[in-house]
Parts: sequence; structure tokens; C-alpha cells
Amino acid sequence: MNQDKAKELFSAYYEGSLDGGLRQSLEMNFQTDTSLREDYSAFVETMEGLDALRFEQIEIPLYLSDRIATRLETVQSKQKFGLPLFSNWIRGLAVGGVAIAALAFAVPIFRGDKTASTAGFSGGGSADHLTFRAEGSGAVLVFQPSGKKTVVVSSPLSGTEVQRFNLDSQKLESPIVNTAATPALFKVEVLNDKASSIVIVPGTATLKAKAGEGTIQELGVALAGKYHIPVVIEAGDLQHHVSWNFSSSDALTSAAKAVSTEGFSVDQRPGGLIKILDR
Amino acid sequence: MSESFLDDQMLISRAQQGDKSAFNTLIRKHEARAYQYAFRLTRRPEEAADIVADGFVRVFNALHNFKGQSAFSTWLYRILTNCYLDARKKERNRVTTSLESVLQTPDGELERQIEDPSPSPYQDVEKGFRERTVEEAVAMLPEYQRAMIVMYHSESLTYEEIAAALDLPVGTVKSRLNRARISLRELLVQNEELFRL
Repeated sequence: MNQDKAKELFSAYYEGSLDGGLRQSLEMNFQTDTSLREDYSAFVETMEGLDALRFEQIEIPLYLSDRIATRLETVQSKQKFGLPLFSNWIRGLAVGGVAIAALAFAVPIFRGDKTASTAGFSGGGSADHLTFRAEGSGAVLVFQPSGKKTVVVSSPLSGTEVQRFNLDSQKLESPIVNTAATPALFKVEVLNDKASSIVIVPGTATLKAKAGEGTIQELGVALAGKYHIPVVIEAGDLQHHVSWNFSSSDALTSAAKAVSTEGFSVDQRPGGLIKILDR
Repeated sequence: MSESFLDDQMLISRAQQGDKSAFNTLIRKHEARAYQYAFRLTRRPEEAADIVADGFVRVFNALHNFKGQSAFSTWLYRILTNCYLDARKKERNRVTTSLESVLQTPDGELERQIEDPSPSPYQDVEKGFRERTVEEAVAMLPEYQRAMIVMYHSESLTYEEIAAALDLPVGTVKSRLNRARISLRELLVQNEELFRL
């Protein structure tokens, strides 16, 4: 067996899949050919180096979903017949899909004193009404029920429940922290109450996209990601379609421009929190 | 047949009937792994993202032809490998520009800014030195050998899966991978001073 032929068998020998006759023949060559033996040692060393490759950590860029959506959109625009439009829902789920994994509730504070309401931004957390305030780039959920109430936090996309607070007249203050890169989106509701709020907390990264279109929820995600502020939406039609262009450096101006003709009003609360609600 | 394989089959079947959410789920399910594979081939984030985006466009265009002869992930590997080989072919055909040339803009001449994709000294320390040297050597392999090495050693595909992805007999995959490993070893030896493996 010459050296080239012997080298062809290295992988099979290393993996133990070489049949008996060839294995014996190769081993005999190793005994008589020092250079072949050294080559095989080097080959083993290479295989060990290659084995480490699978442990490499590769960061997925934030723009990947958007890049895929844009490319699909370009293809569709060139096609004559009505194929399904993919871009919006890919983008929408791209930002929403991480919400549950990203969301972390810090330890909530419960206060027994019903009158000690100082935290809310509208009337200091009024009775039986969910309120939110900005804290850092996150938000704090404030709720002061007058009796027994249950607050449920869930994903508006999947319906998965994230957190449940059973309260009996205590005041709830629960900071909401998003440790992921992209914004986290979730729904907060009081059981047996009709009204609910959509809350979007920005992630650690700032999204660069300036213009876009989608549902009012997706506008909220884009605002939170671009301006790094929490956004609260209290609207009956969360699927209402809007378009936006964040040409202003001011979040309130950009949000107002996007929804002013769409039947929504926007205001900004202390700390920067943006609230979008039905007019 | 694994559960995830069945899941993909179901999603593909629904997507073939025009179910947008099924196609979206398919993308969401595979985009991270697709990117990792593309990045391991190119070592450049922008190029890897382009390859993945092109790959999903090809999936979209050919989805109606997918009959499920192989797993969706295997088909995707084949598409991504072709996108990568095509991108490299285009790059080779592109007219080269001197690094010292200047860009002509309406405001005058602008010095060309060249991105250095190599890791910073900090990243060098962070990453295992041995791991990095092997990655660098893999990046020097011919493209087809690189794809095979990445599929087997980084992506943990079996010989059979690589054979299906590249449409080659299993025996051919084994012999070519063996040659790729020997080439890699030769590269490491040739650059021993540089790599100090």
C-alpha cells in the first residue's frame, strides 16, 4: 500500500469503520513507515481541532428577518400574479416572536395600604385601572384594585400566559424588564374586565429602520425599538393598519404623525413612555 | 422519521396551499441555523445574511416542487450551499478595484474605507486560540471542501445527510471529506509559524 492509498483510509480508520483486512494492512504500514505514522498523528490532531468547531457561538444579527422579508418582497413585486404578501407578517412575527423569552418581571411590590397610591402617571394609579410608568428603558405596571382582582400578563401573539397576580386590595407595582436585544410585546389585562393594554418594552439594541407599515402593534414595536422607550397601546382595533416614517428625533412627533389621521391619539408621559389610545 | 421532520412536512404542505403563516413559521424555525451555516462558510455577517435571504427566496420559488424526498433542512442546506457557491463565483468575476483608488463623489474625492473583518485583539483573546486557527484554515480551503467540512464538523450532519444535500453518493462524500481533512492538515502545517497549532 503506497502512502497516497494509505492516506485515503485515514478518516475511516479514525472513525473505526475500516474493515479488518484494510485496517491490518494500514497498521502494518504505520509500523514500517515513520512518515506515514507522523502524518496520521497530525491528521488526528486536525480532527480534534475540527471537533471544537461545533461549539462556536454565532450571534444572529437583528436585521436577518428584515433582510429575508425585504428580499421576498422584491421577488413578489416582480411577479405578475397575486402571490401572498409575506413581508409584513414576517416582520411582525420577527419582532413579536421573541417577546415571551425576552420578558422578565422583577419582583413585584405589594402594598396593603390602599391610599398609598403615588406611582401611577394618571391619578397616581387609580382604583381598578391599569397604569404604567417608564423606569429606565423599561416600564412599571401599577394597579390598585378595590377588592379581589387578578391581573394576567400574556403574549398577544400566541396567547401564552407569562405572569398572573392575584390581588386583594393591595397595590401592585411590578417592574418589567426586557433583557433581550429586540423589543418585547405583551398584553396586560384584569380578569373579567373588558379593557386591556398592550405594552412594548424596548430591548438592549436600538432598531435602525426608519420607515415601515403594519398594524398599530407593529408601530408600537418600531417606536420602542427606535426611540428606546416603552409604549402602551389601549385600542379596540389592534390590527388597524398604519404606516410610519420616523424622520423626527422626537418619539411623540413621529408617533403622532403616524396615527393622527387614523383615529388614534398619542401622548407622552413623564419618563418618555408613549401611550396610543382610541380617540 | 423525527418529529421535527414531520412538522416541516406539515408546514410545507400548508405553505404549498398558500398558508402564509406556515411559510413564515418555516422561515422562523430555520433562519438561525441557516445563518450559522452561511456565517461558517463566509465568516462575514453581511454576506451570510445575503446568502440566507437569497436561500429563502429560492425556497419560496421552488416550494411547489418540493416533494419531501429529503428533509426540508437537507434541502435548505443544498440551496444555501448553491447560493454560497454562486456568490463566490460572482465575486471572482467582479472587476477588482485598487484599495488605493479614491471614490468620485459630487463633493469631490473620498478615500476608500475598507472594513477589516478579522477579529480584534480582544476577540482573539476571548476565542480559543486553537479554535480560531482551525477556523482560519477552514476558510482557506476551496469552497466545496469548506462546505463539506462545515456541514460535517460544525453542523453535525451525517454522511448520508451531506450526500442528500449535495446530491452525491455517500462513498464520494466520505472520500472527498477525507481529502478535505488532509488538505486542512497540510494548510495548518504550511502555516505552522503563522498558526502555531
